Amino acid sequence: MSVNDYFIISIFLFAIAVAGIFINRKNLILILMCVELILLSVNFNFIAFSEIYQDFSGQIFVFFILTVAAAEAAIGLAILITLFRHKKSIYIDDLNELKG
Amino acid sequence: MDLFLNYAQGMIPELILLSGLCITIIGISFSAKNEHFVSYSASVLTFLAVVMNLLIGDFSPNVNLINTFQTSDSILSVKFIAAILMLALTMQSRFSLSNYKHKKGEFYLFLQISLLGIFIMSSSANLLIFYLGLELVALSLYTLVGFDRSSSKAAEASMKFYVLGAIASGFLLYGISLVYGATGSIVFSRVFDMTSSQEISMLMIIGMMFILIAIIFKFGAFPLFHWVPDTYEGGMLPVSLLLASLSKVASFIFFFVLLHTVFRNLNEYWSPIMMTLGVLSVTYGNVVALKQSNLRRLIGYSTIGHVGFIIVSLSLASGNGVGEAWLYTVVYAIMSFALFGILISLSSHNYDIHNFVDLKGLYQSSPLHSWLILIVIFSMAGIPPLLGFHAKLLILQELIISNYLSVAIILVIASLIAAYYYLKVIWFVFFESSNHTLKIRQSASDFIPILACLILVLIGIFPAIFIDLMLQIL
Amino acid sequence: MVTDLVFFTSVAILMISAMGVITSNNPVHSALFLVSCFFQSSVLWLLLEAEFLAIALIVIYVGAVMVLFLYVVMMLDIRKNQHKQSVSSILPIGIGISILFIAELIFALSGTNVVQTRDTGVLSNPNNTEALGIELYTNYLVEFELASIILLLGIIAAISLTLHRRPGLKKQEISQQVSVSKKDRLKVVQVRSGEGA
Repeated sequence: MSVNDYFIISIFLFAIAVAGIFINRKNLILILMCVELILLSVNFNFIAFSEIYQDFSGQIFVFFILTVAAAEAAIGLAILITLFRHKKSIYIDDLNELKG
Repeated sequence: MDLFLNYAQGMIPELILLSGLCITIIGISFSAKNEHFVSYSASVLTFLAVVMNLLIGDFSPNVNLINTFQTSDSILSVKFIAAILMLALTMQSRFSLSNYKHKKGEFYLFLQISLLGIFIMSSSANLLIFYLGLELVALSLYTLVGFDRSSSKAAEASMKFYVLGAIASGFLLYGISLVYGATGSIVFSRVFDMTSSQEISMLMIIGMMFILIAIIFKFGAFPLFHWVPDTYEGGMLPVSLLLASLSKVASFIFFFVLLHTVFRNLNEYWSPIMMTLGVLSVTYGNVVALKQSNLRRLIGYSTIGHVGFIIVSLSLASGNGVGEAWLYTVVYAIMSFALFGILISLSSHNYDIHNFVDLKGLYQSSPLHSWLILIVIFSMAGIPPLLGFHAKLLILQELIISNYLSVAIILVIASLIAAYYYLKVIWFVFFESSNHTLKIRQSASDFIPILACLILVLIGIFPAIFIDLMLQIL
Repeated sequence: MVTDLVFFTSVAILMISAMGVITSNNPVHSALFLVSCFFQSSVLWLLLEAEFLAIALIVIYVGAVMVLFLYVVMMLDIRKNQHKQSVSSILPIGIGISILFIAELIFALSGTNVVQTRDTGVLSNPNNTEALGIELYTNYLVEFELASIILLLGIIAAISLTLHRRPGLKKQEISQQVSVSKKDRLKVVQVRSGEGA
């Protein structure tokens, strides 16, 4: 195990998440989960670089990403619920009112 | 205590905004029936206080707080203009919200928070505080787009905006983490120092590319523009106005702070990419706008075109176009205030405009609104002597001076295409009549559109002072 | 040796769970796979001596965010087979882009020599939480306060988007109770003696 392995983990997590966004173009809640995966991979990067440079700002950044992600997820799920009230569905194919 | 005072000295506008926020929240919770009025007046007073403070406040010109927060004369001027725009937006929103049935006091809270975000973004001195400011703006925008809970279009637009925005902010963070990996610091000045060394690491460049993706998304420029027409159509009118005016100011700050101050030395990498995307936005936005039948989608696509102008001017590697881009951003904000202000004013008289067809017979219903629309549309199309013409002309001049003649020619051609659909709007307003006409009287809701149109005409005729003032800011 | 074993086990489970998140058909399974991802990440962060963040990840994500996700999945009552999960035609594009990302980033990392600049930095402090706290409340004070506003925004936004007020519901209206004044409730009646019934 070396710190460099953490970048590889981060890259693979990021790639899996981006692939997930492309594959799951049906279900909105899965896309929100993929966004959480992207943020997780970002956190891996920050923590590994923080260890390498022996610098605290990376860890501080992760702390704030966790905070913002919580607020962001709350708002996203709230929007999802309003959407579900109108459409009775959370599938992307049903988001078809605004076109042109 | 010293630390606190040190912070407080440079952050007085933000602190006023924050105390106004707290007062508004308390006001909303303790008012049972007139919640809208309480929230509205608290917000207007807050914004007035911020504007007055920025106008006459005693600032030590340069504050730099331990690599966190900085102010300078130009930052204060940007904040001043943003605060004025927000004040006008609040005053105009009232007329639109008075028709709205649900609870509406919170609307103004989100306006205040997004202005706070813009302030923080423009004063930021490290990537972390910048990211937090950006999220303040973004999260309040997602909510505002979906604020009209009775409309399924609003929910859909807000969801699309949110999903794309969350992915873009994920990319931004990944880019920031790579930049941190290349430099070992998140402080702007230190990242800048690292880019001026001889050897620039691959990590830094890839990190910057990720950040470019986020900038393009926030602007709504060419490949990542899909949220723009949807949010314009789905959201309430004041929200569309917010997206067209202050959100563009925020995107301008995003571009300027990151690419022109932090990554200035890497301009050989970002300048060609952004220039190409800017040109593509101008052409794509204007061409697709041609076949729109929905007026608000049309305005959305034309925004993509206008944003292209701003991006092209900003991406001149020499940095000479920054002042012109700022001028264009402000002028575009004024034009949106006029256009959306008219739409808000008409909708407050139950004259809702969705498609072109709804514009028929507007001249019989209300000559005043028709003439205002004429002024705005001519200004957007860039017809002299209106202000929009000067803004476009300056950018074209700057491009020709910098040897981008071909880009300038493409922009001119795209503007000619744009003139077609702009004239179509005028045609429907003045020359098509409808069988039922609704008499519309003038009311207080016309004040801001009339003011904006007067600015467009008067400053268009005597542009020198205003243009010098704007170009000096940045 | 033991560290290596823990490391590789965690990485393997992390990757399998991440694949599970994006391939599973049922949102509940995806959410649980994501929880597993967070647990494994927490273990990996502990190995890098980021103790506070490792615990915070579990407390915030597993304890709050994922519960919120599961709660929403439950509340929305999504039927599993409502739509056939047809693997879309853009699957090759997705995989292609991912491989491109991986190749590009590994290339970038291999071309960069990230060197340790300080031998004994602040991270050598044995108490990670204390050190993080000191940083947070001094150098990052403004950011800390801003984070509180973001959380406030999250609360207000989520409530104002989802709170339904049905009319005609008999319940307590706090604002009306607070704003009540004397003249709404109390009526002073002059009673003259001798005129009572």
